[in-house]
Amino acid sequence: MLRRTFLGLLGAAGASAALPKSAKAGGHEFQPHPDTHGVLFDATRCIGCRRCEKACNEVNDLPAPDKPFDDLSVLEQERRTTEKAYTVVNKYAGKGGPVFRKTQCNHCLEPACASACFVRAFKKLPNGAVVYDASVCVGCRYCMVACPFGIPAYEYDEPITPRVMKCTMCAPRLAEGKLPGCVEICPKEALVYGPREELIKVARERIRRFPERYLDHVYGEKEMGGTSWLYISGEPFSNIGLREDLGTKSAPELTAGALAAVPMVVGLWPVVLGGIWAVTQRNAKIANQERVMAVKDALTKAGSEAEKKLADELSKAEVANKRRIEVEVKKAVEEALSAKDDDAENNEEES
Amino acid sequence: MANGKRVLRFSAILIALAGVLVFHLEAMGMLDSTAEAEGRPDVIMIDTIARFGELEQPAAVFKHDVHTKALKAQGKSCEACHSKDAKGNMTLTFKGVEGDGTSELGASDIKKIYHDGCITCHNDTAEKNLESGPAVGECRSCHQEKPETGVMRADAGMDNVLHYAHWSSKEIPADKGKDTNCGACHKKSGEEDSWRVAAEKSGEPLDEVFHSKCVTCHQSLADKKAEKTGPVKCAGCHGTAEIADRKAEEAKKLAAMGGVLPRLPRKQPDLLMVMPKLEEGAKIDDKPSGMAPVAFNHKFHEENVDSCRTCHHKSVQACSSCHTQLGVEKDGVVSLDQAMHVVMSDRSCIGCHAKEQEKPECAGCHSLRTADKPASDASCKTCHVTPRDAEGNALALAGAPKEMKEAVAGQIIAERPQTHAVPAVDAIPEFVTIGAIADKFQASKMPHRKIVLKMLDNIKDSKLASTFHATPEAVCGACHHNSPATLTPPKCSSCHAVATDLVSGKPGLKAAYHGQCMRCHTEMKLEKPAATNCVACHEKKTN
Amino acid sequence: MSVDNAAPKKSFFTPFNLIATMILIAGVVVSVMRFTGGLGAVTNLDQNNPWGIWIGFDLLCGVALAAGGYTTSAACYIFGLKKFHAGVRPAILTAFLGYALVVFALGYDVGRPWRLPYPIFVQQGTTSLLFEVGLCVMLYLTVLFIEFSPAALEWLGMRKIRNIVVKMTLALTIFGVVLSTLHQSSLGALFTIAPSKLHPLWYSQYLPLFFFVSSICAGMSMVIFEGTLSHKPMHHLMDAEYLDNHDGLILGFGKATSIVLFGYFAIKVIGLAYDNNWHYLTTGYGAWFMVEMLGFVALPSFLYAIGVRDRNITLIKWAAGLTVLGIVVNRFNISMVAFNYHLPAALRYFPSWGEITISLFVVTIGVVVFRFITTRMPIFFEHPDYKDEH
Repeated sequence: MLRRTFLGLLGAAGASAALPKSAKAGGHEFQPHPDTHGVLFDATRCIGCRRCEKACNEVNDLPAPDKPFDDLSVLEQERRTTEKAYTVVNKYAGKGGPVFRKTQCNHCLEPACASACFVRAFKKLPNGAVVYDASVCVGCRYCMVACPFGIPAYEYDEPITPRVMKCTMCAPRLAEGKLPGCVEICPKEALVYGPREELIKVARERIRRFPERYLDHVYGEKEMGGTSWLYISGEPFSNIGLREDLGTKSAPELTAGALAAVPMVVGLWPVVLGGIWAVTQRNAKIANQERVMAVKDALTKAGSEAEKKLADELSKAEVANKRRIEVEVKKAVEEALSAKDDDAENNEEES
Repeated sequence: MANGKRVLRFSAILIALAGVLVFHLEAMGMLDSTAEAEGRPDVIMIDTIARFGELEQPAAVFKHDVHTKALKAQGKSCEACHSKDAKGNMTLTFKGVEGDGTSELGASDIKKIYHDGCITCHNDTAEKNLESGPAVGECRSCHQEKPETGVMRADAGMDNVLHYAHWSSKEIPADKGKDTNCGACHKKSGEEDSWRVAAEKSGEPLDEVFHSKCVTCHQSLADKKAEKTGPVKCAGCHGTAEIADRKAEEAKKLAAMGGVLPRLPRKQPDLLMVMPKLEEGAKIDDKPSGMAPVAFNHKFHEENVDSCRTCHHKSVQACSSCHTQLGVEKDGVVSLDQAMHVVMSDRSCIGCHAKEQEKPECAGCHSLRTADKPASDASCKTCHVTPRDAEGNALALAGAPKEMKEAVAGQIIAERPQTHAVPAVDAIPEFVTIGAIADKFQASKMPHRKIVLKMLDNIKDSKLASTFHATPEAVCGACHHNSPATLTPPKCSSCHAVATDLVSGKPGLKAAYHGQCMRCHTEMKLEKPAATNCVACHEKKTN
Repeated sequence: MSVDNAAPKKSFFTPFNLIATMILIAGVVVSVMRFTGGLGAVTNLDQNNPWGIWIGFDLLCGVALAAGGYTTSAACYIFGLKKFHAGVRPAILTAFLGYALVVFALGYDVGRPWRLPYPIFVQQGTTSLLFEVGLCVMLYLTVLFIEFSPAALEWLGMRKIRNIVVKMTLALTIFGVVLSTLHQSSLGALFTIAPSKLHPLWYSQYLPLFFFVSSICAGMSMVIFEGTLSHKPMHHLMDAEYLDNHDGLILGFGKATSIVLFGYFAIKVIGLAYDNNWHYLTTGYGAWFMVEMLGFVALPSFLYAIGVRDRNITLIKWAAGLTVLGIVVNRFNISMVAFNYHLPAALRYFPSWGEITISLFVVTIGVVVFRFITTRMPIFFEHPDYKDEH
């Protein structure tokens, strides 16, 4: 997955680090590692004996199942992988009798779980196995959401150290040069381990030699970008529990668009928002200035008007005052004059 | 306040709309999920005007039997809806739109004919206070978007037994001056015959011809109160249950006759040589070209196929009259070589024989054979045998008379093995001990001789096997594949390694054993032992 | 304990306090069960349904509804709409509490909560959208904390630091919007990895865009909705500026939400057309999709428009409530209802009582803390010492 790292580290402001890397990963071509191994499952060969389940249980030290592995009645109900069973065989009705299919991790070439994990707890090893590292797992279960095949299982009953459990393609055994447990035990070689490229050739050859026995399709060659586990069958794959609507896009391709947008948002948003801020700021400033000017204008205008009014009032008042004074003076003079007359009359009387 | 009301009203409408949608769509979803309505053979979807363009309304659903019954109750005959042509043959289509008339009729004319015809009758019936069909305005009663009843018609089919019932019937009068009645249906009795009216009415859909001839004849016999007559109702020929009933009855009759049908009195050859037709201008003793001819037991094959049409198609005549020599393909007719050898065809020799090999007693071995491995050169010679005269000189038969060919064919066929070649019992190892996984299980002691003898017993009556398994070793080859046929084949472990060989795709020894045994058991429909029952073959190891 | 300061005369045994106490006690009980018995003991989660309401409600809805923080601060500080100023602090507080509670709730959902910092500090899964979510949420929580800190600092009387923080407002706001854009959208993008599990009507390559745009509606509606809720009990705490601007804020946000909701409706329809998924509309899921689109997107958009035109505050508040509900419906649909649609009914998920209890527990903690803070710190009012600063 490292090769497909889109984002780099989006540190405190890690946009610059992300850009060149995302450009490199821009081409969505992906070639599996040349040494990718896998397993070819042949549904026409599987007899539903559950010995692979037993072997898986033993080599992985999983807890004993409720019913023993030679009890084939469990096949009557469709089962899925759990935290206690990395692989299960299911029985389906085929046109010529029952058909069996083994379910386990398909070890995608570009695993959805690994692409989804935010602590890189899943790794695709060069030999094809997708393995899990419980020492960093947070337990978010996004891998379970992401897996298109519904494989990872979680230890829901574990309060402190729950793990995600799934088939490891027996990576530890592969490292010792042994075959995966299920492949080794299969009595009919319904499972064949080998380099993926070789397996595809073997599958094609079988289809060519028995065209009426097989459908002309190798499931897993293209599905979800290709898987290390491959299937051939005489029954339509959707009849044996393999979804045929998954498409050929790998999980990283599905999320590439959203991830590619990240550096763009980081780069563009501050510029756009800063621009908007600057514009609104300037608008506000201009508006503010205009307002201040308007107030000033209004004030001066109001001031001069008031002065003029005052002056008018004053002059008016002056005139009025003058007039009043005149009237008063006149009155006083008249009074004075009339008093003199009275005095004169009085004086005449007194003398 | 006024606004508030408006808002309230709008919201109510929107919510109501959403609610209605939920229920409406849910209901539709429910409809989708329920199983398809049971089909009936008598349902006819009337969409005659579909050829003029897109239909305004979905096709009208017409239940034929309901109408036949209703008309009968009212004392009306088929002619209420179907007219008869000059020869008295009833036409399949509705009165007015039949046969030649349609070319002048437009969509609206045809629509009018149907609407008038149907609705008038419905109205008349209703006036008589009888149960009646939809009247004017009840469009959806006939034109149903999702019809309650679907169409379910099985192929009528005319197999050998049914054919015999016709040509041996006293009700069908013999042809003039003959003691056979072929002419009642076929153009020329005896010779290059085909369905009689096919040539007359070429261009007309064959189903119309069949219906017109069969139903008219059956009906006229019924009108005459004949002792035995064929069905006139749709289900009589096309109903799954009715067909099953007929087959059961036929089987009973056949058993009463000793299991063998009398041979068709058609002067067909008993034996013949299959070879390319003589080129124009070739002489009798011209050097034969291509493969040696094949002697063919026509009589034997006649007895073992459903009908003439199993091999003969279009018309019943010699294969070489249409299929020419290799490389002379014309008018889309495949060459004689292909007509006889194509595996995928049900009609070719090889195709039909391959079908035969799917029987459980054959499939055990034959399903193990890969498609890419051609039949051996030896197998060509099983059929292609150069005819020779008494002195051993090759005979040129290209232009030879029929009788001579028949004689030569008889001679060649007589020389073929009549019974299956069986190896000497002592030559078959009695037990084979397989210890490939002896570390986990006890070695498996396989009753080899018992198995081989049982297999041989299964196929001892098969002429096909007797002819083609020409040598005693042939039967060994199924398991001991990829080695020359011999009574002492190499050990499995000579070729199969411990694990799969990815380059050749050869399975490992364990898988090779299991694959071979289990597939054979599955194909031969042997229930026991179950593939998952390890201890049935390998005893548990006790140590 | 939370209201003693605000309403000293009232008894402690108010209905709110009683219910809150009951939920808190139940929450503690379930918490103990969760951390002693594992997720299996209290949840209905299983191998097919790894995410339940703790993700669907606590995370997806929690983050969406806390979007009020960045929308309000962006409106006020970037778009210069000063009338929103009074609404910024309550919105930031809500956002901060919202995100803190999201992280708190995640502690229940993830298997080993103490490892939550691992993706950032121990091993970075940079190809994961969840990594983007985690990183952005962590950074944004920090940003929100800083943005909120002036209120606390004013309360504590630490003027110097407070002034430094206030100067950083613009940078913080822009950073906050960037981070919000990223993680709001990547919450939607989380589901782009599972086209085979999410019903085609809800799955789209544009999920990130849908989540981002709807988060804007959610944020603004939540500000209106929550303002309405806190208006009555907190009225005595609100100062004149807050109260004066409250109606203006509602009208402004109402108008904006109406337009954005309409835009959201449009891009959802375009997404439907782009994938040519029309035929799914006639199925049961299609009907439910129509309910979501018409009842919870188109209808509130219309109600908002009418409310703004008529200056009908009550109607706008109803529209806000409907929008908030609609966001919850949408997030539930994507994370639960339409997720695993291909599985038979028996294998589908329905939350257990334990899960519901914890979700209620988290919400209750949020409300209690919100009351505690708003009754003490200058949230709905301006601190008298800093009144003349802008």
